[in-house]
Amino acid sequence: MSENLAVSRPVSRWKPQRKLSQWSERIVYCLFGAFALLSIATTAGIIASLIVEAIEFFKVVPFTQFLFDREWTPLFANPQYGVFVLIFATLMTATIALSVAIPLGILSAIYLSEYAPPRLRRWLKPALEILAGIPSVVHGYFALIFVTPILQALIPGVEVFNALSAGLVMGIAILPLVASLSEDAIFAVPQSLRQGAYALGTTRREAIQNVVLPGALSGIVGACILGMARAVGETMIVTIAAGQNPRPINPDLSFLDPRISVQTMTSFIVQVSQGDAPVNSIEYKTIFAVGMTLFTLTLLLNICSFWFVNRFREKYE
Amino acid sequence: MSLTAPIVDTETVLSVENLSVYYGNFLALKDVNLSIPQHYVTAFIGSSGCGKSTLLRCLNRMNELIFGSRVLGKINYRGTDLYAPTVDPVDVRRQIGMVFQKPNPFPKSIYENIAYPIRINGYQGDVEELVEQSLRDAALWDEVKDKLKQNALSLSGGQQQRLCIARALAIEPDLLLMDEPCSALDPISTARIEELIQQLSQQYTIVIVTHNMQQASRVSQMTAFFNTTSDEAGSGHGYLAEYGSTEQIFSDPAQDVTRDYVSGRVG
Repeated sequence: MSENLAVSRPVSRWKPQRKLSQWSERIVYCLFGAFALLSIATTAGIIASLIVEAIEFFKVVPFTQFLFDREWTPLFANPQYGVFVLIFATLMTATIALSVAIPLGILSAIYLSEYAPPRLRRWLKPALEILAGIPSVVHGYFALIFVTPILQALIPGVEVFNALSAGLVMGIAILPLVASLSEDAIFAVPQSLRQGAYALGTTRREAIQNVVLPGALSGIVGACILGMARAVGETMIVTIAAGQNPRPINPDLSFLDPRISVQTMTSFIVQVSQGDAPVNSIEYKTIFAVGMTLFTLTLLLNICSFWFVNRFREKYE
Repeated sequence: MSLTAPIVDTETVLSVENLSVYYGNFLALKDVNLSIPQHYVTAFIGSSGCGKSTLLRCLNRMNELIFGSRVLGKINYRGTDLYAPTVDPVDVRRQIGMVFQKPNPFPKSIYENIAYPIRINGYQGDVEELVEQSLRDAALWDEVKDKLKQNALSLSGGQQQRLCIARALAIEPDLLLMDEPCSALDPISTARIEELIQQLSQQYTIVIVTHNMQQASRVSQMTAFFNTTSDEAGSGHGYLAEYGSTEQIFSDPAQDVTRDYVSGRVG
């Protein structure tokens, strides 16, 4: 502990309570540290339980079967565990979602940051972010009772539960994320670069296309990858609107038909956890194996996004 | 207030008539009249907030990129009213180039920084040749000729600023505006840029805003001194206090405020 230097001065009208403030600093340090640790510990606990149960699963079902079976029928008497049935369905709905969210998201981000007058932007951006607050169960029913009938009227062969409707609405659901993060990236491009471009006789479109967007590219790609991770992990919309129909992987690629019902990783987990699979039964362990797969996939996407943003970020100083 | 009419034996590139600039309801600059003679370096001096950068940005219509800015009055550029509705600001900036306070090269290669404005403006000749010529004009060629593919941001601050000057020169502007081009640079880089400005003044007409009075007296032939009024509310507006040859402004100013400023008593 340091000496109280104030005491050594001849006139000491100042008596700071150093002891007390040292103790309160220490308590605050420990308290806040404990809460920070708690959230990390929770995450670690979740991952640990996933791993432990997944290991239990792979003691019964060989890893090769998990990867190479062509059907996903864990609840049948003669079960098959081809997880790629679920992965393909997940990737299909996510791809449909991204084909909506990426173009709409980036274009609206460009509009918001480059074209919208500041007063409009102040309204529009929060409004866009409110869209992200719509509960996904609402999106799910919107897909099922509003979008699906329209699709059925337009496209022949669309089932009541189908991947297309779920994917499209999921695209709307992740649009705010993609738009908002892309807008942040575009807005972060220094104003001096835009001015530099304009001062050379470029039009607004040329300045955006050749100077602003290349500068924001890493952030935009990062936003798209995060959108992908969100789409892969999205649960309610696909559970409600895409059905529970794991399609066998056939060479005719019929399992990639977006008009029919599919089962994603998330909707399988919902299906089993809602049913009455007894603890420690193989059905029960299956959801941990699928959960582990899902977690790995989204983790990889997040790492990818993080890496991309940092690796290709332009440093302007 | 009587403005000393500059005695200039040269063509006028640009003349400003009764120009006032507002940001929202705030009057930044009031009733400016001055003309920029060809092949001269004209310096704008004055303390912060007196509107000299604002005026500079009006000269190539960069000011309208600031939301809420309004320009009243007229700017005549070789017989054309710059603010006429038929005039496209992109064309204006194509003719009247600008170098900024902080170097702002694009995050592209050194070569591409120069080649981009050349291409975008539809140059019909040899792009590579013009890139080299522009870099030579900006006294940068010898330092970068072996690393044209490198990112421009890897250059030093002074080199970046000369690259920005090269970029502005590349599209062969009629008039070059410089907004405190040395304020972010060290003394050695500053000296190089000043030397460069003197060389360029043989070919180009240059308007430079500077806080550095020695710089103004070193590089310019004409000087405009801007000042601020302050009313009771404390919010003054900028105005052109005196305009004349640099020699006259620094040795025999007509007004006391100018004398105080150039002698270093205020500002």
